[in-house]
Order: sequence, then structure tokens, then C-alpha cells
Amino acid sequence: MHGVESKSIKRQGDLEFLLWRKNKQKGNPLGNPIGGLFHGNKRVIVVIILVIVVVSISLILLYQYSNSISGEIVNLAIDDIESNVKIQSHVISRSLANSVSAIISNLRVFANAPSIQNGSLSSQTLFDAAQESTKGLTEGYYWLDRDGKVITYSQVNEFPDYRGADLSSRDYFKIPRDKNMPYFTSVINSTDKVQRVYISYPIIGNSVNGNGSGDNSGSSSVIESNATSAALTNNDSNNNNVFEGVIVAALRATDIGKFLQSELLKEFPNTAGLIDSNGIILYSQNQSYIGKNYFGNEFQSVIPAAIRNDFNAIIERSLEGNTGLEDFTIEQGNTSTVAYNPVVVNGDHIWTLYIVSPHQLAENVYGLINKESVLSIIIIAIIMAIAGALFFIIMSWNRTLRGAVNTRTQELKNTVNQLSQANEQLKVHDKMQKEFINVASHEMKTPTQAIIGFSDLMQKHPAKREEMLKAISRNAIRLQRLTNDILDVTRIEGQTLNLYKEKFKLSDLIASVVEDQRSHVEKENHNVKLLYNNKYDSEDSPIVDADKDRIAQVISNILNNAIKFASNQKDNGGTVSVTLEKNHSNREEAIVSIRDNGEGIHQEILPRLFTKFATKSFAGTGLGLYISKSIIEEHGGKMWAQNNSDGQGATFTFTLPVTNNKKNED
Amino acid sequence: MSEEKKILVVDDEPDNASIFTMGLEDDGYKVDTFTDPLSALSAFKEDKRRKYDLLILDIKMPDMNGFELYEQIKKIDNKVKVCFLTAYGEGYTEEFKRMFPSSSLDISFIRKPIRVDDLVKKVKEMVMT
Repeated sequence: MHGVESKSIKRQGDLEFLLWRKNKQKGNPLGNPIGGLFHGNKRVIVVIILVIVVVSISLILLYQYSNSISGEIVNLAIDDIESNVKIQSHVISRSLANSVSAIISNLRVFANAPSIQNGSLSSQTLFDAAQESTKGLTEGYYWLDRDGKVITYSQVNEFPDYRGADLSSRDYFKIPRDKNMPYFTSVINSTDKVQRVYISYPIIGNSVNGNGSGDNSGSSSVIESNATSAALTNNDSNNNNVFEGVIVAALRATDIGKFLQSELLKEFPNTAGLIDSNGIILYSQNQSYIGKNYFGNEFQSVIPAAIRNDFNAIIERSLEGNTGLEDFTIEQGNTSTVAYNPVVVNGDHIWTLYIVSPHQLAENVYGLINKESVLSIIIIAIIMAIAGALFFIIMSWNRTLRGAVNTRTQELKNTVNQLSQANEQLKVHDKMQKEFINVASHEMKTPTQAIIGFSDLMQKHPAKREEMLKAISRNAIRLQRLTNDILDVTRIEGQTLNLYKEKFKLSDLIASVVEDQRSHVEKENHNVKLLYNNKYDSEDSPIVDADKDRIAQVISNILNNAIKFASNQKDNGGTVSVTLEKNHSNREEAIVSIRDNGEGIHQEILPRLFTKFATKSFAGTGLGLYISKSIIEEHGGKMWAQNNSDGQGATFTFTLPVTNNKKNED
Repeated sequence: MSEEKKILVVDDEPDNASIFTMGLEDDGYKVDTFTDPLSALSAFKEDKRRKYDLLILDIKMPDMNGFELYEQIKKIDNKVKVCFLTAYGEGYTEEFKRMFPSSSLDISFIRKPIRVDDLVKKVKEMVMT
């Protein structure tokens, strides 16, 4: 029959509620660790990709911006260079023009000076003074007579004497004489290996030989005309103008160069160049080019082929008298600006000045800016890398955390499982306990009822007094046994079963119990044979360290059962045989087996044989086997039962550990 | 009372069965005693003249418990009164209410162990109503 629902409903209910609630929360990510991790990974990957894309785009934009900024800065620097070059070129060309103008003024003065025209040598001081005034540029002034012979020259005493030298072959004599015009030579290599440029001016005047005396003022007015190329009145019919000679100013190419160099601002890496109207190089940085024709093969071959055409175009433009500013690139990253200005003297474009400035500064700036932008990009990249690393650290923390959470959740789940299992076991145990208590109390009430009942009836039934007293006695003993067994069970369950161990010979104990039973059997008139077989040698007799009374209880219990079963065997007569032997597979144990030839153990009962109140046949308490097995196991032994292979009866066996020492020995 | 009251006592414990029987016989009842519910049932079925004024049934018995025996007897004698002997507590009341939802006043429980005088008193009450 079912018992009452246990009072542990409350406990059970709490746990069930928790389990129910847990199951309800299926969507809880903590409850679904694998799914959560997987989703997390997807999200993480998407976020990582997004971050990388954003960072890359930012870096690219930053780089572009930085580039454009640096480009603008470079352009500003270039503008700076260009304006500087332009200004310098303008200023220097004017300065040179002015200086040349001064030279021409001197020449004109000479040409008009009456003393020159008269051929008077008192004009020596004029020459010295003139040279003094233009000494930065001129080497000297020379007076050539109408035959091209040197009359005198400035600082005549300081130079070797060239007076009387015939220079009639020189162009700077012939052309002014023939064309009645001032003349600028190109670069001339003199015999002394010095390159010079000559400016010569014809002396036109009244002939000393009386070749007509025009008005003296007229010639000066003619010479004062601004258009120097305008023809001076020729010496044909107007017999007042006669060629008297040439005044020449000599300029060293190097002096021109020095002049130009001195004009250049030293802070800038500018170089100057000067070309005359025929393309002859009057001055260049590389002085070996002086005197070469720009358009000649020798110089052209020096110009890098890639820019030759452009450069030539620049030069041609400049030679046309234009002012300009152009950039040219010799090779990758080597750009320069050239500014050109005509050197104009008295309206004539005599020379062309070039100032070239490499974009070094600009390149330096560019380099610096590049460095700076690279540095800033590197810094940003480092910051991004650190951010990325932090991000990954955080993600890995996150993963670790999630892992830890999952682990903990799993642990919790396991714990909950264990708890629920334990609770199940508790419930079962509770139920079993309740059942035990029910059965035990029922068992106790039955003999109690008999004792009370017979005591009540004894007065009215004096005739049956003996019978009733016997019944009372019988039930009292039954009650006592039951009480003892229940107490034993309680001790076993509460693990307070105290064993009073001593060392004794097992064979002796078995023998004495068997003898007790033998007398009992005879008294009860059971038709049962009781046999005891000790298979140990007497020297080898096993000593056990055990609670004597308890072991006796066990043997007694099994023996009683065996006798009861055997006594039911009507045909052959019952036999119970007790055997004591060594456990050959485990020499530390002794085996005791008690065999009967009764009806055996029913199959349904066999699994429950050693449980509480499994069987209640023959008015036993139903607890005997449970207690016996517990006692044996407390001693470190084992107990079991099986039906005999010949189908007759069953055998109950238990083992006990044997101490090797003999009694009284230590 | 001209008629003797007949009582059926069924308890698997022979000592207790005899106690109840002797106690009730001392009080003038006619008692049929069985220690085996199956035998009780078959005897009851065989002799249709058997009509008990009261059944006294132990509940916990092997083969057939008291409730089942009562059910079987009720099929034959619907109005039979019954008194259940129980060593257990209130638990069986629940069980009983489940088996016999329409409770009737003709059913009562006796808790073991019981004094013989108390048993006799209880039986008198049940039989009289």
C-alpha cells in the first residue's frame, strides 16, 4: 500500500520550481553556451572587419590630406623660390645694364672728348678715371687710332707696354670703323688665354688733318642720340664726320662673372648665366662653357636629351627679348626654376641674363614634410595598432569571460543535476525510510497487540492461562527481537554501529554457534542434519579481528534461516552444512558458507534479499539479512547468496579478512 | 435481542485473530474467524446465507488486503458494515477515500493495538446503528 506523501514535499517542491523555471528560460544565452559563443564570434568578426575598413579609409584619407597639404606647402616654397629668382634676375639684369651703361657713357665721353679727337695724349687721365669708375667690370680702356694701333690705355704704367700694337684685325676695331656703331663682341680668347668681351665705340670727329670742320656740337648731338644703332652720319658727303679711331673697353669674362656673383644673394643656391645675342655664352657657372655657342653641338650635347627641346625653346624665347620664368626638370625630383631677363643698354638688348635656382629648398621642405607625414602616419598606425591590440585583448578577455561564464554555467548545471539526482535519491531514501518506519511500527504493533490482548483476556479465561502466558511470552520475545533489530538498523543507517573487536579463532566461534543450534534443532524436533566442515589445517586456522557477538549473530541468523528452509524439505530430510575455508584467490580472506537443501530462493525475492523487510516468512523480523550483511561489510568482508546449482536449496556465503598473526602474537 | 449478531474477523496474525474472536464471543457475538482473506472470501461466497452484521478486517494482509476483501464482499452484500483494523496512522484514510469516494457512516477504523474492552465497545456501537 502506498504511504503518505512525504513531508519533504516542501524541499522537493523548491527544487522542482527551480528546475521548472530554468527550463522555461530557454532563450537565456547563459543557458545556451554553445550558441552564444558562435554568435559572438560572428559579431566579433564583423566588428573587426568594420574597424579595419574604417582605419584603412582614415589612413588613406589622412595620407591624401597630408600629401595635398605638403604639396601646397611645397608649392608655396616653390613660389617663394620663383619670386626670388624673378626678382634677382630683374635686379641683376638692371644692375648689369647700368654698369654696362656706365661703360658706354665713358666710351662716349671718350669718343667725344676733344682731346681724343685731337689725338692729344693729355687724355690719359681720362682713361684712368674711366677705368677707376668701372673697375669692377672693365679691365681697361684702350684707344686705338684710325689704323687700329694702340695709342694708349688706362693704367698704362701698370701693364706691359702694348702701345703701338696693331689691333686692326680685330672685329672690335673693324666693325665700329666700318659701321660707325658701337659694337659688343662675344667672348674672345686672347693670346694670353684670358677670355674677354670688348665693347668698342668709334671715334668720329673733325679730322685733325682738316678734313672738314663741321660744327663740333653736331657730332656730339649725333652721338647723344639714344638709338645707338641708328646710323651715325656716315662719312661720305658730310665731310665733317671722319673716323678717327676706336675706344675699346675690355671686360674679362671672369669679371663679368664676379660681378654677377657679387650681385647674387648668397642665401640662395642660385646660379647666373649670361648669353649674348648670338648665343655665345659670356658667363656660366661652369666656366669651361664660356665662349661656347649655346646652339653649338658641344654645348647642346651637354643638355640632357629629355629637356633639350624645352630648354632651347626657353633660350630662344629669352633671346627674343622676353622676360620670363620657367621650370625645368633635369631628372626625377631635380627641378629648377630659370628666370631670364634681357640686359638692355640704351634700348638695345645686348645680353640675356639667366638666374637658375634649383628647388632644393623646396625639396628639403618636401622631404621634411614627407618625413613629418610619414612620422605622423607611423604614430597613428602605432596608435591604431595599440587600439587594435587593446581591442583584441578586450575581445580575448570577453572570450575568456564568456568561457568562464559558460564553464561556471556548466558547473552550475552539473551541480543542479547532481543536486536533483541527490534529491531524487533523498526522496527515494525518504520513501524507503517512511516505508521502513511504517513497516517497523506495524511489525511492533502486532506482538504488542497480542501481549495486551491476551493480558486482557486472561482474567476471563483462567482455563487458558498457560496457553495465553506462552503466547504472551512468545510475543514478548518477538517484540524484543524486533526492537533489537530496529535499533541495529538505526545504528547501521546512522553509522553508529559500534564494533568491539578482538582477535579470535573463527573456527571456534563457528563451532560454538553450530552446537547451540544443534541443541535448539533437537528441541524443536526439526528433522535436520547439521554439518560443520573446517577445511583449514589446524596450524593455519584463521584468526579474525572482529566483534565476536556480532559475527555470532550473523552466523546464527543465516543458520536459522537455513534450518527453517531445510526443515521444510520433506523428502530427503533437511541438511544444513557449514563450511569454513581459505579464499584461494585472496589469501587474506576466510570464506564461510552455509548450505541448505530447502526450496531455494524465489527469483523475485533474490535481488531484494538483503534489503529491509524483504521477506517475512516464518515470523522472522525481516531485517536479519540486512543487518548481517551490514555487519560483515563493516568488518571489510562481503556477503552474498545464490541458489545451488543442483537446484536444491541455496547457499549463503560471507568472507572475513584474516589477520596473519596468531592470537597473542603481535 | 433474539438474533445473535454475527461478526466476521479476518486477520493474518493468528494470535490477534484469536484475541478478537475470544473477546467478541465473550460479549455474546457469533464470530467467524479467518487468518486468510482468500479463504474468508470463498467461504462467504459459498454460503449465501452468511450475512454478517459487521466485518472486522485487518488491512495489511498478504494475497489480498482488507480493502479489497471488503470490496469483494460488498458486491454480494452491499450494505455490510465494516471495521478496519490498522496499525498505521491516518495514511489509510486517504487511500480509503480514494477507493471509496462515497464514504458512508458504516465504515470506521480501529487502531491497533487496542484493549479488548475498547474493541467490544466499538463493535457494540457499530452493530447497534
